[in-house]
Amino acid sequence: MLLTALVLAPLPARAQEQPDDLFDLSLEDLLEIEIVSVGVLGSHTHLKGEWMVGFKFMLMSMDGNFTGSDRTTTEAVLGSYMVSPLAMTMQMQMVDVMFAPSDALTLMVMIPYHRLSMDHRTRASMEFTAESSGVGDVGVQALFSVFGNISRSGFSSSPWGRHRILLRGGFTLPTGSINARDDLPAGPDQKLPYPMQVGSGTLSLVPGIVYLGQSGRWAWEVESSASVHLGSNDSGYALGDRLSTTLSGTREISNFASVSARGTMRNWRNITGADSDLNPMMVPTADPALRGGRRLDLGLGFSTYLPFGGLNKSLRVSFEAGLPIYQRLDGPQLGNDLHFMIGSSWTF
Amino acid sequence: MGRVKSKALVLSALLVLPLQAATAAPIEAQTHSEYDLKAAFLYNFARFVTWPDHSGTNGNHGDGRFEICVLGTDPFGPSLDILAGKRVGTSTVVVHRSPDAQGLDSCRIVFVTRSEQGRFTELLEQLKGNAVLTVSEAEGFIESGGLINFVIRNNKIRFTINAEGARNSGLRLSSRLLRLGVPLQDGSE
Repeated sequence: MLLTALVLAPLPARAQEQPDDLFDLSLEDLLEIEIVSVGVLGSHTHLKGEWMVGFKFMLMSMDGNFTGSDRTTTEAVLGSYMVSPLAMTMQMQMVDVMFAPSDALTLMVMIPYHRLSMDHRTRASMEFTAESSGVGDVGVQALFSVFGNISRSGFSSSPWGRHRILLRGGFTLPTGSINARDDLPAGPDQKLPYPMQVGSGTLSLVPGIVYLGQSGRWAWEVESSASVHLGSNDSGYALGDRLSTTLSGTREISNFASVSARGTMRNWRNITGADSDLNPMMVPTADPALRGGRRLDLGLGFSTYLPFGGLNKSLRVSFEAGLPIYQRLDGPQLGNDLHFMIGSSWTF
Repeated sequence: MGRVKSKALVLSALLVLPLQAATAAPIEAQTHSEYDLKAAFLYNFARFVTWPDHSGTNGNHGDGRFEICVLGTDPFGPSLDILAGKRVGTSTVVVHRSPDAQGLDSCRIVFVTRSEQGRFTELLEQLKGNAVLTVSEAEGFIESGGLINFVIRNNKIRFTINAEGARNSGLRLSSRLLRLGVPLQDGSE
């Protein structure tokens, strides 16, 4: 997919509009041009020759068990298992680097670092916390404009200039560990269950499609992407494939800041195969048949965009906080609670 | 305890972020696209203004230079540099940036940036008598005696013109430019 995108890169998505064109326009033409913010339509991709280095911190909390869309008490879980998870905190720090070999193509590498912490209670009412951390699966992706683009001057006098379609293609490498261990009541250096592993152990394809639209200071976006795990890992299992669809709206509140609302529907399947080191009768998180589900998250965000040093150089800082408004899980499985993200990126 | 802290963090963010959005200090630099467009407007203005004879043919001082100057902190970046070398009549555009009004005698167009908003009257007084087309994007510029003020309406750039001030400066604005300008009473922010 990445190679295909690279081969296609020299083909422009449509005629490029360079700043120089503006000086050939009449005053009447200039008055008709709508300002299109690079900060909105230009999100996701970059202009030819641009680099972007970003850092993102995400905090997601899970609290309480669900079976289907109903909460399950810890006592009910302990009726079937020796141990019940109570809550989980997932922190992710991610560095991403982007480069645009052309206006139509942006390549990116994403390196995540995870810190995971899960609280448990045993039938004997003993509570303990398992922890793991490490570099996760490194992602390599390409975003290719198949319709529309953001010109260097960022202007458009055409209604179609306010719409873009991007194809996302890439993969994640099995760089994250699937052998995280911790000292547990069952003994020292015990292998941790599936959600406590920072990697998948398999190569995964990450296809996706993005639609971006803008009118005035409003912008909207629909993105659908999937994660398809290929084969099984060394422990004999593969994480369930994922499908995610996001609908978001953004309102610029000034030329340097915007607020946004986002809804994301996620579907993910159960694990196929099983890790023979884990006992699915011990704790629900060790049962590969209790990992699937679907969830609708709502997020509210704020983003500020600070141009500095002239064209194509900017610092962007974004925040988002949200919570699930619907989740239906193959459970008992921990349900999501609040999530929080802060990110910054430097384009040069 | 950890969960409680996480929730408090997220809820604080939900409360604080809209407040930040509402109170964030204006930043003088705006989107690139806006300044590409404003640079193109400046170039067009040069083609629809006639400078008095003593300032040379179409304002070139007889040395073949047509200076477009930025007074204050430059919001254009390279967007304005693209103008350098372009032709206005028989003259070649030269872009000049200055932190103050000194040394702007040779400028034919002076773009006064937002950073100078508090001292428009003083600056315009210093430029008086130089047959300069003064342009700004900041509120109150026309009222202070400036000649052209950019405004944004429905995400499009418009401009108001101080025709009387232009006449007093010895500049002749084309009827086309005057027609395309927004009437003063509609241009106020």
